[in-house]
Amino acid sequence: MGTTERGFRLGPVTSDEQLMLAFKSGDARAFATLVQRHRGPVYNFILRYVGHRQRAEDLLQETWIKVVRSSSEWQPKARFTTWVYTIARNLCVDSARKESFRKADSLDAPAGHDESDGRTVGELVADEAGQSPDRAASNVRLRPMIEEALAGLPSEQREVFLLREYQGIGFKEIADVTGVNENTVKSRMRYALEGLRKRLAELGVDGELMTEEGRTVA
Amino acid sequence: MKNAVHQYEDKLLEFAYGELPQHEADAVDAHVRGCTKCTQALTEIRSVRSAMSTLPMEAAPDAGLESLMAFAEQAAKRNAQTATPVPFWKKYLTPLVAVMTVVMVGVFGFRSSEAFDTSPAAAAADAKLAEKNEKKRDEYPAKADVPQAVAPSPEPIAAAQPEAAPIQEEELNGEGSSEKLGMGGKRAVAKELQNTRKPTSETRRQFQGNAVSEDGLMDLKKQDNWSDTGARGMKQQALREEKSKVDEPVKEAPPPPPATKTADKGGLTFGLGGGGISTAPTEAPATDEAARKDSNKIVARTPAPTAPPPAQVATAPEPSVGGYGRGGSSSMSSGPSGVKAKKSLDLGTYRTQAADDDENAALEKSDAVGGVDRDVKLLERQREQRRAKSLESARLSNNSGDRTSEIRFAQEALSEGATGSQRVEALKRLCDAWEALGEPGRADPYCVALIREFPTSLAAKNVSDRRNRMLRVPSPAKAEKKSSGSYDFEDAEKKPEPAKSQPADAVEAY
Repeated sequence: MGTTERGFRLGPVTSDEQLMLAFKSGDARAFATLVQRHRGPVYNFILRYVGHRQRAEDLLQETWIKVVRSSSEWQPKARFTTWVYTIARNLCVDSARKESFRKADSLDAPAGHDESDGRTVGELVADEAGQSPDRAASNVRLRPMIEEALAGLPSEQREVFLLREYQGIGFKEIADVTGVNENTVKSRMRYALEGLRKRLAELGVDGELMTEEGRTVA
Repeated sequence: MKNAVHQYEDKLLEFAYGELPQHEADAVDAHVRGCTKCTQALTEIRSVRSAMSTLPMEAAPDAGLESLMAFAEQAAKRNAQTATPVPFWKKYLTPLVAVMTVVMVGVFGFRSSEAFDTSPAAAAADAKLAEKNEKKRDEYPAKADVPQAVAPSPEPIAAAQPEAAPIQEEELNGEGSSEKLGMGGKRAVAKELQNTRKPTSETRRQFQGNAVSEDGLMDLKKQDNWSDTGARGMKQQALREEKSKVDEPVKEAPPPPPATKTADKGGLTFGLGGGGISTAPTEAPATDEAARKDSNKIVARTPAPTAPPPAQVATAPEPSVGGYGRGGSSSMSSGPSGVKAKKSLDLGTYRTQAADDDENAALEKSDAVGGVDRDVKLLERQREQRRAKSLESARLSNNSGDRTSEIRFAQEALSEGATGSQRVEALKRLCDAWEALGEPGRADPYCVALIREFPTSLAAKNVSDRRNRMLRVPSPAKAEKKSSGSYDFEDAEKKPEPAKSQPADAVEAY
C-alpha cells in the first residue's frame, strides 16, 4: 500500500471510487490500479457479449479510453463498476448494431477464436467432443456448448445474465447499467435462465452433475 | 418455473443469488424446504448457474495496455493542472484586463473622433476663421513698409507639416516637382493652369515648353480643350500670367499693374506642373531640360530680381482656408492658414521673397500629394483643443474667483480664433470679468461685440439686460450719453472686434 502524491492511499482495500478520485486529481497510479482490478472482468463481459475476440479487445481498449477521457467529469454518485460497465455495455450495443448489418455469425462462420484456426464452431464442438474422456476434456467439450447457449440468448437477456452471473453486479446496479427498472432486469434474468436451461438440455449438458461435482455457482 | 404461481417464487431468483436480506432469506429457505415446486425451481436455477460457471474467465490481452497507460498519464497531468486551485486574483485578472482594454479603446476612439470633427458646424467655423484671417491679411500690407513684403508666409504651416518638408527637400535636391507628383498630379495641375481664361501665347509656350517636354502629356491642343477645374486653377492661371508679365518687363514690357503683380507671388509658389511656373525666360523654354528642371526647383529659392512693391502684395483674393481644409479647390499656396498668418502678423516679421517661395513651394507640393488637407485639419484641431482648454481654464479661474486669469484665458481663446458658442463664452467672460474688476470701459468692447455678433444668444440678452438696468441708474458723467437710447459704443469701436452675426443655432446653446 502506498500513498499517492495527492495523499490518496492506494491498496487492495482502496475503493474504486477513491481510486477514481485520485486519478481525477492527477494520480496515474490510481488508474493503473483500477485497470488492474477491472480490466479482466470487463474484457470477459465484452467478449461474451459480442462473441468475437478481436472486437472484444478493441471495445475493451475503447472502454478504458472513454474512462480516461471522462474522468474529469466523473462524480462519485454511483459505483465505479456501474459506470465502467455502462460504458462497456453501450459500446457493445453500438458494435452489435453495426454488426447486424454484416453477415451474422453462425455455425458455418468462423468461430472467431484464436485457437479455432478458422474452423467453425460446429467443427470445434465435434472435435472437442470426440477428445474428452476425462474431466478437463469434458470442460473443453462443454465450453463451446455453453458459449453457444449463451450466444443464443437475446442480447437484453444475455447482458443481464453476464453482468449478474460473471461480473457479480446486483440487479439494482444492472438496472442502472442497462437503463431499465429492476423488475425488468429480474424478469430478463428469469427468461435468460430458462432459455439457458432449455438450450443446455438440448446440448446434453447436465448441470446437476456439475453441481454434484462441486462446481457450484458463485 | 415460468407458470408457477407461488408467493415465494418471485424471491427465488434473489434468494439464489443471495441478494435477499437475511430474515427474508431464512423465510424463503424455510418455505423451499417444505415446497417441492419451489425446490425444483431453485434446483433448476442452480443447475443452470453451475453449468454456466464452467465457462472460464479469460485473461485480458495486454495489447494496447501501454498506450492506454500513457494516455492515462497525460490525462492525469491535465487533471492535475486543472485540479490546481486558481488564485483568487487570477480569476478576476483576465476580465479586469479585458474591461480596461475596452475602456481604453473606447476613450481613444472617442478622442480621435473628436479630433476629426467633420460636422457642418466645424466647417462653418473653419470658413469663418479663414475669412477672418483673410481680412487681417488684407489689412496687413497697408501697415507694412518693407518694400519686399509679400503675402504672409506659410512657414508655420510648413513647420507643422512634417510630410511637406521632405517633399520640399526632394525638390531642392534636384528632382522636378512634376516627376515627384506622378502623372495624375501633373495632369491635375496642368488642368488647373488651363482653366477659364485662355492662356496667353507666352503662357502657352511655357506650358508647351515645360510640360510637354517633361512627359509629353501637355499637348497644346489638349490644353485648349481642358476645362475649368475651379478657383484654384483660376488663381494659378492668373498668377502665372502675371508672373510672366513680371518677367517680361525686365526685357521689354512696362511694369504690369500692381493688382496683378500681387498674384505673381502666389504663382511663384506653385512649383507644380513640370515647370509651368518657371521664372526662366520664356523665349527658350524647352531647349534645355536641365535648365528647366533647375528652374523648377530654384524658382522658389532664387530671390526674384523684380520684387513686387509692397502695396501689391495683399490684393490678390485669398481663398478660404476652411474651404481648403475641407477639401475645397481653393489654393493653399495663396495664403497660409489663419493661425499661422495671424502669428506672423503679430510678430511683425517679414520674410524674404526667397524664403516665402520655398515655403510656398513646399506647401504646394504637399497640397498636390494630398497631405495638406490632413495637416490643415490637424492644425485646426489643435487650435480647437487650445481654445477649449483656454475656455476651460477660464471657467476654472472664474470658479476660483481669479478674474484676471479668467480674462487672460478668455483672451487666449479669442486669439485662437474662437467661433460660435466658444466665442460667445469668451466674450461673455471678458465682459463679465472686466466689469467685475470694476473696469466697465474695458468690458465694453467685448460686451458690445457679444451683443452685436450674437444678438439672439442668451448671454447677449443677459448682458443687454444688465446694461439696460445699469442705464436706468446712469452715472452723472454718462447720463447725457445714455439718454440717447444706447450705451457707450464708442469705446467698443476702439477695439476692433469683427462683428459678424453668427448663426443663431450655433449660439443658442450657450
